[in-house]
Amino acid sequence: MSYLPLELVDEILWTLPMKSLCRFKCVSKEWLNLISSTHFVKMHLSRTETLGRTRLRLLANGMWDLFSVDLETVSYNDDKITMLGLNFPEECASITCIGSCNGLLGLSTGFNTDLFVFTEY
Amino acid sequence: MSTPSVSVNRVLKLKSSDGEIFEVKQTVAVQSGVLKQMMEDGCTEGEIPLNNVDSPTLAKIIEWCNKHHDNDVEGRVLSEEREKEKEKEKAADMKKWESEFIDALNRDEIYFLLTGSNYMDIKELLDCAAQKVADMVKGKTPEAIREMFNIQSDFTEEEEEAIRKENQWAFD
Repeated sequence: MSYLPLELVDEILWTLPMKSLCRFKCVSKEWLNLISSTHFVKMHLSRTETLGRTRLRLLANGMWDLFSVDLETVSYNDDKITMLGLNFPEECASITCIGSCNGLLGLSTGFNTDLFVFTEY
Repeated sequence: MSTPSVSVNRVLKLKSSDGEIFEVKQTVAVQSGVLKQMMEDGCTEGEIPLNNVDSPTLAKIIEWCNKHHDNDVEGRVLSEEREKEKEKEKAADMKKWESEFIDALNRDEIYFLLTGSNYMDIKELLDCAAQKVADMVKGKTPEAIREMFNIQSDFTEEEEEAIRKENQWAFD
């Protein structure tokens, strides 16, 4: 492949998960500015909201895993339940969900006052 | 707004950047925003030069448009017969065809399809090609992205280090 005009970079990047986008901020200044722009953030958020509208995240009591369930298909197809590893930096006895906003989950481990933010996309 | 005078039997002559001529039915060509506009403006006589699209890419683009046109025509007949199930099946078949069409292409072919569909303003094909490139880049490192798209980093070492530190979680 070779050089891509910025309008096409935009077209490609807005479908990517947050983790890839944060990594791609150091590709170049042009990419950093695009990914950080209000326009791009809004576009990405609206896509995340569409994707996340029919999904439910469940935290099982006494476990460290987060389950993501597709509400539209779960009734007849349990393949759509995904277990998401949370990879906390430390051992913890319990996880509490403090709240959620714009596809982000605020989590606390209960041992100390550390707070974590989780995003699926 | 004027509607394009599209005739089923009329064809447009498209000329690729390397000089090859492709004949496309007007009813198929309307999927391209650029060609649709030209039809509305009545300036499609003779050869239409597409200077940014080479012949292998244009052949692929036309294959895509023909397939979608045929599917649309069949789809309309089915909906009149209220055969919703078959319509769903059709949509699933089209999705399958689209992914096989895209998966069969190599990196360069996808790149040219992406830029070509953007130039000709064919939204569905552009979305499909962009999604394929997104799947290809998703797990890559910034270095691999630079190599893939021929991008020179314009950060100083310190600047790049600061961005990496700020987004450490994305590199784990």
